[in-house]
Amino acid sequence: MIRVTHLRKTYGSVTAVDDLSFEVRPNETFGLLGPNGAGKTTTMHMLVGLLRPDSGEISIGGITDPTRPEVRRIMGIAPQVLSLYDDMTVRENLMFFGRLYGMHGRRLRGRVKAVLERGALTERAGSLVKTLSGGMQRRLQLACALLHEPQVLLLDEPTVGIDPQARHHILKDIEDLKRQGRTILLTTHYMEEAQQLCDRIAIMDQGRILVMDSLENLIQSHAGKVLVRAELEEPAPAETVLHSLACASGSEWRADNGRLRFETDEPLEAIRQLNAAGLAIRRISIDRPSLETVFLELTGRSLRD
Amino acid sequence: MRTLFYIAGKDLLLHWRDRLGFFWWMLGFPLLIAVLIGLIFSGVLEDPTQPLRVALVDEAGTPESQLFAQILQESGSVATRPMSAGEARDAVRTGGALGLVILKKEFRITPAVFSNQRMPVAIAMDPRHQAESHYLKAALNQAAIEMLRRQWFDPAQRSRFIDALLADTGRQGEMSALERKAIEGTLGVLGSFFDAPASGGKRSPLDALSNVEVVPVDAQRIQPHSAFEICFPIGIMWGLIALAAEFAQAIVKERDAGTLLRLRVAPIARWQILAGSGLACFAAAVGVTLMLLIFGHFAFGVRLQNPVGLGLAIPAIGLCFVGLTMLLSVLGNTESSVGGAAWATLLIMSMVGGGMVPQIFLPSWMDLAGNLSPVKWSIRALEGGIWRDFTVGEMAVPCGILLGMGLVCGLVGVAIHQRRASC
Repeated sequence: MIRVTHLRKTYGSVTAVDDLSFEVRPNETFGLLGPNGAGKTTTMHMLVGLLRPDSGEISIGGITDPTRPEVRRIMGIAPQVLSLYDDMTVRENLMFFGRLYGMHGRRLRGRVKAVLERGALTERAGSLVKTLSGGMQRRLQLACALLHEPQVLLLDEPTVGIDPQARHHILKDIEDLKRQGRTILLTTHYMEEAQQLCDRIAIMDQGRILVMDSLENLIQSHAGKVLVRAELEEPAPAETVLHSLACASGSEWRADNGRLRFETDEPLEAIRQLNAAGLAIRRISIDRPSLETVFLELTGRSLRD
Repeated sequence: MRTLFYIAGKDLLLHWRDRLGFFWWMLGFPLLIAVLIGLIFSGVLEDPTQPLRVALVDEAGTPESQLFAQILQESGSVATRPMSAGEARDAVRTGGALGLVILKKEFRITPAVFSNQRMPVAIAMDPRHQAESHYLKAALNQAAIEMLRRQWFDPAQRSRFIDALLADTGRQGEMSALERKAIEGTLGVLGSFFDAPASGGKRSPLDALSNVEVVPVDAQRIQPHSAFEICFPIGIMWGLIALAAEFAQAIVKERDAGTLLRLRVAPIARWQILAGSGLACFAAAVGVTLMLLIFGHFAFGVRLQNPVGLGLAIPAIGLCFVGLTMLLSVLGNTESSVGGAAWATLLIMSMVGGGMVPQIFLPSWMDLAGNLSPVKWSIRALEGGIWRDFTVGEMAVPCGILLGMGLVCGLVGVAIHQRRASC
């Protein structure tokens, strides 16, 4: 659906996007994950024709010019910055943007009603946008992108700057869209979002894609093993404990407080082995490696650095 | 085309939402400017339906000077009030009269007709009414011609005229009775000739001569009926200046607020976005101009005597200010910098273009510099429709210049917008 090949964009001596290539398949949710300044928004702006790449090619639905109206009609974009008219009501904003996409009359009114309901904004349809909360404004931003029922949805940091409740609402909304089979390209610097929503993820840093794969493959390839921390009911001999965890690596046992720490690919198997050795577990925590770990592994930095 | 109307409608709605700002900057403020400047200059331009109010000092006190004063009063062009010299000066000083006319002691016969001397009449004007001195001089000339006509036509007056003429030239004793009779006869024939209706017409040759004298007086009367007819175009300029600054800021605000981004990813052409804003600016400019003109007409008697001229002027002015708005909107990167730059630029344009002080009071060099200001040509075009009574051909000059200026400014502004957007 979207194919990007050797895309490059520089601002003077700064290279914002460097030799970027990826493909978003139909009905797929694809995430561009990276810290601020990684080049995600620049990529997004090139995809919608706001910026002209220095080199490389973009193809959307087989058309290589993203400024063509037929391309724009199949795309809906929710930019990172709120792009709403503060002094117009929620409904006026939707009606205006809908008309720009060629909708009129009953169809327009129907679509406005539908996106208002989806965004839980029906009761605030007559309110000026400037009176809405940040979360509501984000939901309206998404509603504007969905108004013309686009096949491809480009969401640039859709949850930035909002409270957890509003964020949850938006993520749920995107999950619904995903279930409907829309093609979604999402940029975010929140790894939880990427983990929760994306079928495939490209991790970007300094304008380049570092890795690109499904979440499981990324973690398997780059994030190491699952970390298990357990506390036994009663102290036990170290040999018994360590022997029962033959499958675990880096096992560490402190007999004084009965605490156990080890890494394994198969945490459930390790727990079963501990039980089989007659060791009762009082508490246990399993830390799966995350995209944060992947990013740390690849760059030596945290995503939020 | 629909898209342009949607964008224009959105822009107008956003301006309308700021009602207080809209009414103050585009209607209240210009109206206040028009009224205040109108009141300031209301003494300068007397209502031409009323005669010039002047004090008359008859130092001669002769039958001829009295006849002259009577003719002047009867002319309807000048309203004289006989006074002493001191009273007349006080009247002018305190604004009771626009000027004074002194019939000098040597005023005895129709002055300066045969002797090639200066007219024994002096005038003095209130410094604020120097422009009307030409009108007063013309009225005095007209009165002198009328006086000649009466002196030559009426036998008794004709005889007195010849006596006075001989006395003035020092030849009273030298003329024989025959010579005198011949001159009297000649003047009588002349008087009859001038007073008799011309063949095929109803007016005498002297009337025709009077008409020649009357024309320049009337020509000077092609002027505003009141100071408000001059000041309302100025007020309208201030409304349009505020409007141009507001719309230029709105274009920048669109970019800063991120809404331009959403417009640019919509399936519309880039030019349609600017054209839509331009259409809104044009509609607002025409609306503001019409509202102020209508208000001026009903509240201050501003004439709208040339609707065709105004029909040409108002759209031309609107288009010029649209182009100007496009150019102003690229004078900075932020809303506040564009607002400041727009006001500074427009103030200078207004100053040299007669938007602060009526053009007729500007020094010639500033009037020349004003040729580069759309404010000057906008005022000229509006005046052409209000009181200058421009023909379509005459209106084509300011309107053509305004359209040219608008086009150039608009093209430059749009080109810069496009260049910035395509980086």
